Amino acid sequence: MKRRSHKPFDPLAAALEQVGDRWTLIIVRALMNGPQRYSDLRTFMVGSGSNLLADRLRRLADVGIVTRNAGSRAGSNVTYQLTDRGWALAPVIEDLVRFGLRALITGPSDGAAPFDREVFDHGWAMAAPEVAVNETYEWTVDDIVFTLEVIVEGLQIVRTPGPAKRPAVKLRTTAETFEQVLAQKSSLGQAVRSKSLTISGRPAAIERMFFAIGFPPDQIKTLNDAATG
Amino acid sequence: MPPTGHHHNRFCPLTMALDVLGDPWSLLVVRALMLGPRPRGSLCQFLTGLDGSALNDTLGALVTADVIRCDRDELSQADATFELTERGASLEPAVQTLTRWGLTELLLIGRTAEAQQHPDRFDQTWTIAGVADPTDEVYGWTIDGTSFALEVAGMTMTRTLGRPREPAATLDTSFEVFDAVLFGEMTMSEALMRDELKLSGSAESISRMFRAVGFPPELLDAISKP
Repeated sequence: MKRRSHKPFDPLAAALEQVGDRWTLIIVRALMNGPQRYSDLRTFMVGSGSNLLADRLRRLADVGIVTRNAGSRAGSNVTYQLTDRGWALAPVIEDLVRFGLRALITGPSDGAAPFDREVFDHGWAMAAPEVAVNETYEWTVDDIVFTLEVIVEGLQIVRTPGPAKRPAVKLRTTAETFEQVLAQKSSLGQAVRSKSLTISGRPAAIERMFFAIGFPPDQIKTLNDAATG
Repeated sequence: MPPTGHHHNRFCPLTMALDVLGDPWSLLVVRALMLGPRPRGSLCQFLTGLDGSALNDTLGALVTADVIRCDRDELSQADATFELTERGASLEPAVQTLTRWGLTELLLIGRTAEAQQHPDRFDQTWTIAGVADPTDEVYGWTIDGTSFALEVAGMTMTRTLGRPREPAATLDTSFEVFDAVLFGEMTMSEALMRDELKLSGSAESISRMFRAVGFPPELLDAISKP
């Protein structure tokens, strides 16, 4: 049979053709914080080639996901922002964030090997550097203890098996509870109230911790409700 | 444990997800398995354009990431069967949202008027291969007042803006209703009864039309019952 290069009339394939590559959704997520300049967006693109951001922004503008606004002054003021069609991708990003968080926190699902020490690049979250502080957090998930250490100078998070020396926050929960919170079957606030998740530490440190690991912001807010209610 | 020189991943949940799923094929595999376990051979028909070795790479990466599992040690065996893990099944909302989002593109709702002027040709092997009696014919669709023709010829389908002259079947509805039917919030017969979705043409043509665009067959039962 002759090979054809036409794409299928398939909604999922059509969506993936526009946003299914490694970087496009990372740009869209960055723009969910509001309009950004080119130089701001580069912060989120650690590890990408130099032309990639320009190329993706052009493509995103062509298909109507992003608009480019020339500011009042020439040159430096150009910003990029999401169109309504771009904003319609927000739920997809939230779903994928939950999927990724499971892997970062609960480790391999077969429970065979608790994870090794690993250093993560953290540049993407440093778009708001005033929030970051050098501190450690101790997590216990299903009796497996590990430490998350934020190192502002190297823009890194280090995950180490075992307890922390002087953790700013201690969190203890089960993988099941964590899954339920991520699947939005339960909120963080509800999990705290029902004691299936316990957190100790100063409220500001707790908020920084969840921010640093990329927890969905709407979930972080439910903690305050638990504290006041 | 890898010593120095170890690649630093980002401690970023979205990057972590896209490391596994950020390619054009992975979520198509996940969608194909959302209806239940499938042998390797039947996966291929959902993945037009993916050759055997690329399919092995995609399946291997998804097994490693605990998104799917295989009943054989050797993934490339013809009778190997794949299914979603619990982790893979948790991707269903993401697949559904992306499908809705992509639909606006195909139904000419999400695009600028300029981009709509050119006919677009699609490879429909993935849907038409499953139709018992493939027939070359033209369908007329009107969604939210925008009319376009879908012309099936062999294994391809061409979409052109405007009304076709002699359509074998027509559909007229709003995007909102179409979306609700597609995602099970409203049945096809409800939409027809309320006159929020109008169909014309012979039952056979209407059935072929929906199959050609890849409409889930289980949603079509309502049409055969008058």
